[in-house]
Amino acid sequence: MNTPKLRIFEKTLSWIIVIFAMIFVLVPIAWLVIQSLTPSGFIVNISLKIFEQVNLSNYAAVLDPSTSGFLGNVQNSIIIAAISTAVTVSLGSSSGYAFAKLRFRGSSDVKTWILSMRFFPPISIVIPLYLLWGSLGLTDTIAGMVLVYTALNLPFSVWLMSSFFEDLPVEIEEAAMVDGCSRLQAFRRVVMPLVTGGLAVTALFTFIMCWNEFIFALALTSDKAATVTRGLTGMIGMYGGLRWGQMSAAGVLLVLPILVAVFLLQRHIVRGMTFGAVKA
Amino acid sequence: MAIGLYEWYQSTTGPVTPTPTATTAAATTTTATGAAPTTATKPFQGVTIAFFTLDPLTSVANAMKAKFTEQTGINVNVIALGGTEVLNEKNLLELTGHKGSIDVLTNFVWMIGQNSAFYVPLEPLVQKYNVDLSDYAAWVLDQSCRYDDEHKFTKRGGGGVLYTLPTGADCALLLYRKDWFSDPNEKAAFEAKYGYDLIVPNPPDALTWKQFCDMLEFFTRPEKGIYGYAYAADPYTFWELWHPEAFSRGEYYTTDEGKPNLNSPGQLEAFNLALHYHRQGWVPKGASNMGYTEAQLWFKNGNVAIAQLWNMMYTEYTKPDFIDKVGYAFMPYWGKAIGTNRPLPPGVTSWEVPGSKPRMSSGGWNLGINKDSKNPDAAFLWIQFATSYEFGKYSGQNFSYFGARYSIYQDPELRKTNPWVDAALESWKGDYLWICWMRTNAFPQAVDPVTRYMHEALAGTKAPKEALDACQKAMVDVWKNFNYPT
Amino acid sequence: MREKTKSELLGYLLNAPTIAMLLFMGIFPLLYSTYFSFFDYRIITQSSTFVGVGNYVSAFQDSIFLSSLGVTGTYILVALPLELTLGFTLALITNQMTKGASIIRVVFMIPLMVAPLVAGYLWRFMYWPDMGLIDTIIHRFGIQTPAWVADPQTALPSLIVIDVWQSTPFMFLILLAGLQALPRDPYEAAMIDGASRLQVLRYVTVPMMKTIIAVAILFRFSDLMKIFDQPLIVTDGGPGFSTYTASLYIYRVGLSEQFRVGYGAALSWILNIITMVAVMIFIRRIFVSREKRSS
Repeated sequence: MNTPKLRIFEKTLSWIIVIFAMIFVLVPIAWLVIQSLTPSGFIVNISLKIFEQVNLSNYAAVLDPSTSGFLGNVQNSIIIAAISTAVTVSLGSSSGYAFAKLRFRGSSDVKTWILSMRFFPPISIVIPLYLLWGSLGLTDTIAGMVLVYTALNLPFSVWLMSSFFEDLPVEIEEAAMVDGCSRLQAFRRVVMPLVTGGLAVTALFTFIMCWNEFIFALALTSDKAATVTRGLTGMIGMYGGLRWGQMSAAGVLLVLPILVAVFLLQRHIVRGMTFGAVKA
Repeated sequence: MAIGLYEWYQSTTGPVTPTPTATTAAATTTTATGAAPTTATKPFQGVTIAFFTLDPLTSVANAMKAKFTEQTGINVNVIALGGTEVLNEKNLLELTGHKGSIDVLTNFVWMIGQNSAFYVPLEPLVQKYNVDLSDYAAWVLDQSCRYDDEHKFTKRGGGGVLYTLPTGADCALLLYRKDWFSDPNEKAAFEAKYGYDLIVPNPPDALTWKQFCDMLEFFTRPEKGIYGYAYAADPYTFWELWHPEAFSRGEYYTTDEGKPNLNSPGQLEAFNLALHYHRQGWVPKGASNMGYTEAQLWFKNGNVAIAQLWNMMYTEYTKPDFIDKVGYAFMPYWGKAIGTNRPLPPGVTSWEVPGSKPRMSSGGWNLGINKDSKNPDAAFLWIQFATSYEFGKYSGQNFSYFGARYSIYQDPELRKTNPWVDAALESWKGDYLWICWMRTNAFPQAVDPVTRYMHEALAGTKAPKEALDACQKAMVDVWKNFNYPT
Repeated sequence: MREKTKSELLGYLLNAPTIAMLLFMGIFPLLYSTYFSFFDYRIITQSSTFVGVGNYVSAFQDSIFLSSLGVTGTYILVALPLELTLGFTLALITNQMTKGASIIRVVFMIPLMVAPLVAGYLWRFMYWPDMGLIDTIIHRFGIQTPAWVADPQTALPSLIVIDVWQSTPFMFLILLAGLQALPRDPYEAAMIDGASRLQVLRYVTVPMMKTIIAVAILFRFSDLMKIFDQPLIVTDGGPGFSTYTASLYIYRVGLSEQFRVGYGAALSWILNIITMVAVMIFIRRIFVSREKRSS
């Protein structure tokens, strides 16, 4: 019963929901940006007067390499996130494919075991990991953090990719192989393009997770491999009060790399080749 | 050579400006003519030491480390941590991991017992480098830097083996809006209502708790967004800030023998008084989730008349716009109630307690050397520098975080821009400062959940007596684990 | 036959790096944790006494731990459905948009891009009674407000709002990717059959997305079981214990305050087991219903 009236009602409702959601999302963000533009970051007695004291001093302070390790932290985080993402996506998709398409003994048990690796509260793993990393010389190193973050993201990557592969009808691969491709070629030419959505999501979440992860970054890095989260904790100050002006500025700056990543990757989360077309 | 504080006060000719102690990092590395040291006199040239610290020391260290490198050839890697928990976690991970990747660590006063087992005793190094300790505030050295089994239960002073050197001598004073208290209209209204003058006495005199309540009530005007009192009452910090109520009745966390003392009748009365401000609405709305950040802002923005804050937080109030508006005093004591009658808060039996004196919380950050450090001597030179006159003065000028040296507290420049100094110095004399959290190594184990049980009473989910009983039980459990008296 | 063994071999081969990495990273911590959970191992005093299942028994008598499980449970029961519904609704809507869809999608992702530390403080100050953004706006309309995160009744709901703000994008993106990967045929068929939008949603979309929805729920669930950042920064587990989650308690016990590694390990294992049992039940239901569907 898709009467025009119903469709208009639906469309209006959709837009109302979207607008409310956008307000809910953007107002705190706008507030964060405004606060970062005032010297102390705290705006009390909110009035239009606040726009008189707008300046970029917090950004200058955060970006100044002589007093703030921010840029160094960003560099570390980018490297760690990029490598982790690459490894997680590759390993995750190959495992995901194996679980979805290939039958081998114990596959569901292994898959469940992989999932369970995600359940353990990070706190309990911190100390043994710290000791293990210490003896391997991996504390406060990029390699050490890459290994940790890859392992933390693999379960999600494996499960997500496997569900994308599972939803692909088997006929597509078989059609390609009948046409003369080896399994590997079929995988690369036909299957992979259809799951780019899953790859993009995995890459994005892994990247974001590496960027925002707190507990391991705190425990396992001090300064050489300090990530941005670790750097942020240094701004908590305590007795002088929180350096909120600088922390909010840092928070705003840190959104930018992820924004870039989202823009780049979200093109791939689009409707892929239709199965109907392939079948024909 | 700086004269001791006692002599300074005793002198009838007034304060004497002492010559600051030598600022060189090591007595052996500067030549008599003050010429730049040659490489031969810089035995640690090229060594790098890693330093865990937090604000405001981070900023000071970053500003001053170049000078240190110039003098000694030692590079300093300043690693900023933030907040109590982060600091404690990183410190302990580092110390118990035994990798020696961090050389110098920053500690709060209550960490000295817990961490001392992992630090290099400093006395041999003090002897080796001929360091003069007399300019350091003696009480801070005893309280924050020395520890051993014999001195683990002290509530002031202390003693034991020297493990650290102090960067600060912290005390939590009472701050008040001097301008509001001097306003003639306010004074007239107050006297009419309560029957005595609206004055906060100068140390060593202090308000009584009854007067304190009168003033909080007087200044609570919610329709204008103004309240009486602000302090950090969030779940983690709450326990720190009702110390004055308890300490001023002679109640500490343990008895003198070291037995847990959290639910004695005196503690309960003090606790009930502290809760009273919240029940009466004399603290801002949402006070039970306010940390130091919010408390400082409440006071700065003119929303409260009185605040209790540590002296390193006074930076904002020493700025030109505020310096004349803020007065500093001792926290109140259980003295004779004057003026119009005020009904006792529930759970409090009397406003007056014999033998009561005003008592505030004391603290003092300090720097220790990791036992696993590969360069303990170089680390010691840094500690010396970071607790030197020059370093402490810079810290005092920029952050009102004075180094723990008598000479710094006598420095005329600093004294001019920091009107709180006199109140702080007054508190150093006599028995006015008790250590904010216990130094004993068992104490940090008890903090959580004790502070939270107390906070439950604040939130209203537990009765005060029930809360303190739970606290006592928790502390006794921890004490039993360490075989301490219960 | 050969095809089958070839496929098995490939299966193991493709999984080898993943398994190897997880074993390496997981084995030592897991063994360490399990081993010490039977000891009362306190790092600060360097003391370690064997207690057998003592830690586990204490855990069940530990009123704080039990209450923290309750807080965590409430978090999950309220936040998860909210995030799922909201995320799915937004995914459905943006899936069908043509104009401006990419910008709106990116906007919805933004809360996830803000560092949890910063988001925590941002909301903490927004919730500041009388002075914060929320009260300032609401008071303009003359409405009275509670003390938000300082009031034991409203603290947990206030935190859940923050989590919904920050984590709905997670659901949103996964479900959107899933929707975008759906084939068109069933939709065309349903159109021809004259099905309503809601019927299409219920009988075509959701069944096809079942696995992906399940993955989204599973991972959000396991993350919520470990929720830690916001309760720490915004309320520090308070007032009292009303927002004290299990993970926060384990942090205090096992790491930041007491370094009671043994007891912390036992608590972690209990949390772990609870999560695993819940997940097993959930997976079994999904698998069973999938088998039913295919047969």
